[in-house]
Amino acid sequence: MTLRVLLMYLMAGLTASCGLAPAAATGRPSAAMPVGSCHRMSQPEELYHVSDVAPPVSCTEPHQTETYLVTRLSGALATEPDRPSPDRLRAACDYRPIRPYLGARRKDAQWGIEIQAKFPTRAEWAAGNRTLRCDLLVPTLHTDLGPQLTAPLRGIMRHPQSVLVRRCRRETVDVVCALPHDQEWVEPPIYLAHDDSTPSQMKHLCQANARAYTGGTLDGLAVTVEPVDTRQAHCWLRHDDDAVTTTTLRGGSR
Amino acid sequence: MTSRTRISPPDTTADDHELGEHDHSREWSPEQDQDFGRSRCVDDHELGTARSGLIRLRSHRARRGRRSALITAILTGLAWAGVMLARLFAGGPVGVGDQGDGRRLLCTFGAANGRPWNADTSDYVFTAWVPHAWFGETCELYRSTQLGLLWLAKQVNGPLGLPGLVDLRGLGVLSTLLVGVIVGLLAWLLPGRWWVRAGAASAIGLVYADAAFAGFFVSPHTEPAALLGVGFLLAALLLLGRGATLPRLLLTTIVAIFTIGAQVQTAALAVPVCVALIWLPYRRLVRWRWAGPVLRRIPGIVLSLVVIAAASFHLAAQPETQMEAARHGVVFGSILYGNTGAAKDLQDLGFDAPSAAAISEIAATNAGVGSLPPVLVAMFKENVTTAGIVAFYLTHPAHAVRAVGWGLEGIGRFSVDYLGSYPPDAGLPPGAREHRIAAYSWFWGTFRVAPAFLLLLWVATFAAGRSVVRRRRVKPARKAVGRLAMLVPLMIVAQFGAVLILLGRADITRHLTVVSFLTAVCIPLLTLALCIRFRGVRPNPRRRDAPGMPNSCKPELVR
Repeated sequence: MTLRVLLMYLMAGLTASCGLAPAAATGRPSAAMPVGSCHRMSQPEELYHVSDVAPPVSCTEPHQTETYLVTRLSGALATEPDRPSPDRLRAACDYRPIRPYLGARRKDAQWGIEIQAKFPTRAEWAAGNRTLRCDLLVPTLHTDLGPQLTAPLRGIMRHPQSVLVRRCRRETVDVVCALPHDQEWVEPPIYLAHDDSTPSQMKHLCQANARAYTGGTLDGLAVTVEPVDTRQAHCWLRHDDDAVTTTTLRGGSR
Repeated sequence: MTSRTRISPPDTTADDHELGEHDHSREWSPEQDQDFGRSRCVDDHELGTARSGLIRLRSHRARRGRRSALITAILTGLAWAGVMLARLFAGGPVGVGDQGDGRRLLCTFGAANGRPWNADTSDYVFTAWVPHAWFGETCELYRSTQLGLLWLAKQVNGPLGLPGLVDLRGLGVLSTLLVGVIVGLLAWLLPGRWWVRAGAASAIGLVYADAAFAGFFVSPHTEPAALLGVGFLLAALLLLGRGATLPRLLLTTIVAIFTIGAQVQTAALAVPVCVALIWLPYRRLVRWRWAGPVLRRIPGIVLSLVVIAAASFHLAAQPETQMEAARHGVVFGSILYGNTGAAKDLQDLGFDAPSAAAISEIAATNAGVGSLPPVLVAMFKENVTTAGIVAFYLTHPAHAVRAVGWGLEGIGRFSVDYLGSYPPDAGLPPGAREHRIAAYSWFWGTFRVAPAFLLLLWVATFAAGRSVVRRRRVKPARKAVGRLAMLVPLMIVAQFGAVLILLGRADITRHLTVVSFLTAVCIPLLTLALCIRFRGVRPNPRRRDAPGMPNSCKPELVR
């Protein structure tokens, strides 16, 4: 009996020495994260982990992702007793609600946005929780800080902060418009019905799209045509003096 | 009494297996004197004079020897603590990059690495860990005695003026001091003259200082606890090898449990530790011949059970997800790696033919277990167990040979050369490795060319140790070296097997760090064992005696 007691104390001691209680807090249940909530994940391990139960933060504070969709998993995946691997779960996020969530209209093109799915924890899954949280992740502005932003993404296309999700270009490198750039993507690209289109036709169409994009005249601006093939071309807007900016030229109906 | 009435010079023990554990060279009993008088027929006056002179001389020499040993130990330990401090910090700190282990360990303290977001932690060493709140699964329970060292590092972080919650440079300072203690203990416990002790302990200190191991002391890995634990275990086994007393048995048990708790694979050290604990009968029960070999080892047996229980607890307490991932890694990374007969082998692991074919097809695309359909994942979980993997290797010698080959190659690489050594502000290219002290790394070129020599080194060390242990007329302190030389290859083989079975081929060089360390220790240990084997036996003074003359009582001869 004494030996048993001794062994018990030894085991308890070993437990204490081998592993302290984890410092991780319980956090907030996955199912309680609403659409529009923002999530701070200042460590890459948090961002790329399959689940996240940290309490949401204000969207005007530094954060990494924003929830655009909360749904329930269904089908064969949902019937599995153990949480499936992230590779198989990620495909469940629907991309179609993204543009409405961003407030994008026909002339707005989002660029560089990624979907980051978060799933219930193993314990939540075992308890029957099948909530799937789909977050948006914006491009990285400062490499030391990662994909961090301080503005809400909901309806962002109607605000100047939309530079965070618009496509621009610095010389030949595509960047997000919030970074210094000298050209801005004009949505939509042009498509011609016939193969015998001339450069002037392409230029004319691009200028028309650019005017619609800026919502006014093209004073002080130049349009660059970038043919993709004989029937298709991309249009880029730039300042006449090739000024480098971090703002957007988008105006129009915004 | 008759068993102790033979007079023997200090190096000649009557019975290596039993009385050998009594250090006759340091004890003198009236019975021995009486017997000596009877057997030599020396008159009482001469006997009394010789005896009192002998006792005085022995006492004086013992005091001087102890003081000399202590001074040697302290100086050697201080010197190596200094060497370690200098090699880790002089000219800027060096360490080992992180592969993700750091978060698992340090999140326990509510800390996160203070590196820039886009930094590659395997290329550079980022020593500062800052306070951070972790939630849910991002910080799961991680069991390792390394947490104890990190807790100490956290305590000294402020007093050392280091930034953040835990700075790994504090861990480095602590580790260098502990290396100094280990080297000092070895210098104290090893036999021979001061320069032999200091030299042999320094050879082991040089292993710690080698570029293959030193960097781990400034890293967020579990290797510091394992390497320091093994060092203390070597010292404890040296002490235990002189004779089994309760303090020595307890000390060995505590050090072993700390070392076993460092990593998953270090649990295998329970085997050699148990051998060591029950090798020698308990000293106070040595003369209880009637009790039989088992009863006389009761304290060692009880403590062996404690060690086994601790190792079992350690393995059972590991997060199941990590152990499962490790098993999957062994199957996909080792058994199915480059395996043309994968389907057949999977059937031998317990899968039915269609499942085995499906898994082998997936494995052929280098995909992991995450790519398996749920049915196969469930089947995988059901069929693949550690016991099943052991049985597979036992019944498939070709796979076992292949795995051993990978293991030997892993030891041959010696250092984790794919992880950087420098902080980013050192201005060196990503992944740059330091080679401030690389004596063993340089010598390891031999094993890189021919890893089979590693086996020879292990066998030679074991054989030399066995030869020392079997030899009579060897002092207990020297015989302890022989026992250690036998135990270290056993520790190596146990660890080696555990890594191959529990963790597999992936990242094998890092997983075999303790094996590489012990293999490097084999070199000085083998040298020392051979020296003792061939030069350690002093001439028997009785052979130089003139029959019937009291010259044999001359202290210098008896001594």
